[in-house]
Amino acid sequence: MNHLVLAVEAWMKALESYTMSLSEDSIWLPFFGILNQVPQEVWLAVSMFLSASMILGMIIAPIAGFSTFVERRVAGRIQARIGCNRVGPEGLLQFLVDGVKLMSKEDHIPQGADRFLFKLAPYFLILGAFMSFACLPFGKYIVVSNINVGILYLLAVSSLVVIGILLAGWSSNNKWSLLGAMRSAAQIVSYEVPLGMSLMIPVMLVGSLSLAHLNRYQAEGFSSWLIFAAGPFTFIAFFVYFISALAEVNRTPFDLPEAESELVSGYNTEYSGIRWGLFFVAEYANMFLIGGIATTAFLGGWQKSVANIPFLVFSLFFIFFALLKIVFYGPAFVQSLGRKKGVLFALAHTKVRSFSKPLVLVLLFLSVLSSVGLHVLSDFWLVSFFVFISKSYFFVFIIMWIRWTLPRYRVDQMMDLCWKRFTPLMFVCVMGTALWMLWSQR
Amino acid sequence: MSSIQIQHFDDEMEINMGPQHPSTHGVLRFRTLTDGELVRKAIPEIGYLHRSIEKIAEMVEYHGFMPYTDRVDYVAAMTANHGYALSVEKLLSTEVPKRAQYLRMIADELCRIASHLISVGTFPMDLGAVTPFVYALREREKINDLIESLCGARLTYNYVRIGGVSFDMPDGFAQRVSAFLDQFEPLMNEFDDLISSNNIFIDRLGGLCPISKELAIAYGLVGPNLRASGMEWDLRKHLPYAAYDEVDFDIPVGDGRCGQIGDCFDRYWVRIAEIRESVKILRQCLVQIPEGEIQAKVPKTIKPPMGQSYAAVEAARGEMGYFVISDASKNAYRVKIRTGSFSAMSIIESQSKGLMIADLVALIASLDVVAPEVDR
Repeated sequence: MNHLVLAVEAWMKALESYTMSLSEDSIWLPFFGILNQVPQEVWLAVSMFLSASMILGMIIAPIAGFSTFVERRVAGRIQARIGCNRVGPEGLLQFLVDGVKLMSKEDHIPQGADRFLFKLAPYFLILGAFMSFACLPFGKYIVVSNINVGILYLLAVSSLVVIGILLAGWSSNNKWSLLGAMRSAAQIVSYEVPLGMSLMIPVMLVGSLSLAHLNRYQAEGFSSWLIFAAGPFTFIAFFVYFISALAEVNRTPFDLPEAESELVSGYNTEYSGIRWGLFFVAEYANMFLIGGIATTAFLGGWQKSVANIPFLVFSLFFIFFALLKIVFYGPAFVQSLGRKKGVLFALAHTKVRSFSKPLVLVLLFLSVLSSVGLHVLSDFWLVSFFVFISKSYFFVFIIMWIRWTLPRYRVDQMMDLCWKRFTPLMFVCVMGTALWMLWSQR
Repeated sequence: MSSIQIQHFDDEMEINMGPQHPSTHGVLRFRTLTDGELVRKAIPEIGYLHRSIEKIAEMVEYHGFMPYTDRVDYVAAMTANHGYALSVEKLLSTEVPKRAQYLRMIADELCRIASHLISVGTFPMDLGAVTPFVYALREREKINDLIESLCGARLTYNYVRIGGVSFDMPDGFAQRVSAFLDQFEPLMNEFDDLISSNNIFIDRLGGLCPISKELAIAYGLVGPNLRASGMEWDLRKHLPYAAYDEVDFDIPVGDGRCGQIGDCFDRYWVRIAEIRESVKILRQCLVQIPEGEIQAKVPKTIKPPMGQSYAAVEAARGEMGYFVISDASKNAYRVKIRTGSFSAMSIIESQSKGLMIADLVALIASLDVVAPEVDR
């Protein structure tokens, strides 16, 4: 906020001096006269609006677009095919072409649909996703609004999604859509409970709802990460958070609202063109948001996550390598893990071209080099941005990997998981964390 | 269409599932009466893929009907060819050369693997996992390549002739088949790792819609669906045709490994096990196949003596029988085709009561209903 106030003061000063320098008979004089009488609060509001929309537009749109590209490449690799690689380098610009295509498609509204609600529904989803981004700290100085009730705000705003989905399903005048919407309402409202409780645990430990405070708490590297802060409890809370968040954004194995083999396409069956596209932008933005919140609340946020050299090497090698693998070589790395039986998820493994050994060595070298560099440069804001984005994208990748591997749950099994497993488990964890805090103070 | 009267309750919603619906694999239609997510009843409506194949049989000559049999079951067309040929050969009392019989077996078993791959591939897809389908189809493509080199076609083969087969094996065919089998068998283990041992998959299917042995027999279920219910019945073993009595294989039977006997998982597992048995049969056939003729002497225009015959083969979806009546003219008087999917379709209505919509999809997928077989 201080930066903005300074910027606005500077702007007003510049405006004033420019007006003074104008000659008496200039036709612009009345115009600038009016501009000079605009109070500082209005300029502040305008500048906040502009900078916020700049950040949102310049971050969310590319993130959502890039995620569709990553999703297609990951899916391609998992399914032993290639994925999009035609438009732009390695198919990176495919999402722009897709967007143009969607915009040029017919915007069809079915007969008997509630036209107003039908048009309104996608905006609720977009609104929910975009508003959530407003308080996410992307890096040093890169946060639109650092509010002191960040977590509460996030939980509240992300619930807008369920209204959008319900509206979409209800207004489509289609029974499959309606079923999807009902499933979604039940699912999202239920999973808010374990999700909220799992986020309460970091909040308890830090003693603040502010995302900035959560970030600051984890500034001392790996060992101060909140996922390790209260023994097993935060560790469990992290996984519960992640799985509940999967249910929140309707991704496999909880993609019941849009189960394409059961409900045709669920709540968005009747949508076409850019309205359908908006649903997807919201979905991918929300996926990134999951990663973002997980990173901020449990995994150190944008802070340099390293306190010592071995961990420095490990963590950054992991992030760097994983990112490269994800984008260009798909989950071959992950598949090599999956060859061991009994891994948590049944892993997709196929005989995909594996890395050649020199390439691995070069990557290893590069990642060590870059991680040392990062350590040195860690006060530079762009580095913190990179750290945050890589961590969050790691989760986006995990979500995609799960999607292309697992079947989906049935409605009752999903509810069982929420109310009979996760909710009691989170009660235990919240209690446990409280006791842990008492004990560790003593 | 509405010949069935449905009693309506106030709190009931009628949903139309199909004929264009992602999980019906073709053009099946179910009128689904639901109470929210709960299915009260799913009433199959058939006839969307009816092509009058049985009527066509009365209009064309005996040889000329063979290409139409491909369309009875285009997922595994070889067995459909084979059954018709067997029935007409029985009318003619023709002795088929040994080599032709073995070639038919090789073609049948390749086709059975291909068909079961579609079945076990689309099953997880109906439960939400798309990837196994792609793996299954990748292997099916290789089988299609093999069959293409055998008879020149990839989907509707028209390979079996009355009295033999149309082409002998091309050079190196046996080596290519065994090379394929060598790389295919370990892949089935990978497939098991990926999906058969997946917890969600087992949770969804274990104990779902168990069909008892008695019920399965009462509804006339055949093939893998019947064997999954615990009934050991396989035409290849119990009423052997071609040279199936000369090869050694087991009949996989549902054992309720993840729930009850005859549940959806058993129906899935029986197919997986049958793929392995088919691999075993293929290996033996490739070794045992004798030299010799591939076509018995059969006249260009067949005029069988007056009479009737029924011959059945164990197709991928169970007993596929052709009942042929001859009036000693050059066309058949009547051909009736008995297919497995038709009876599988009939059991859905009684089994769908009280299921979730998601389970209904799983039930349809587990019965491996293929639309062209239902309507013909």
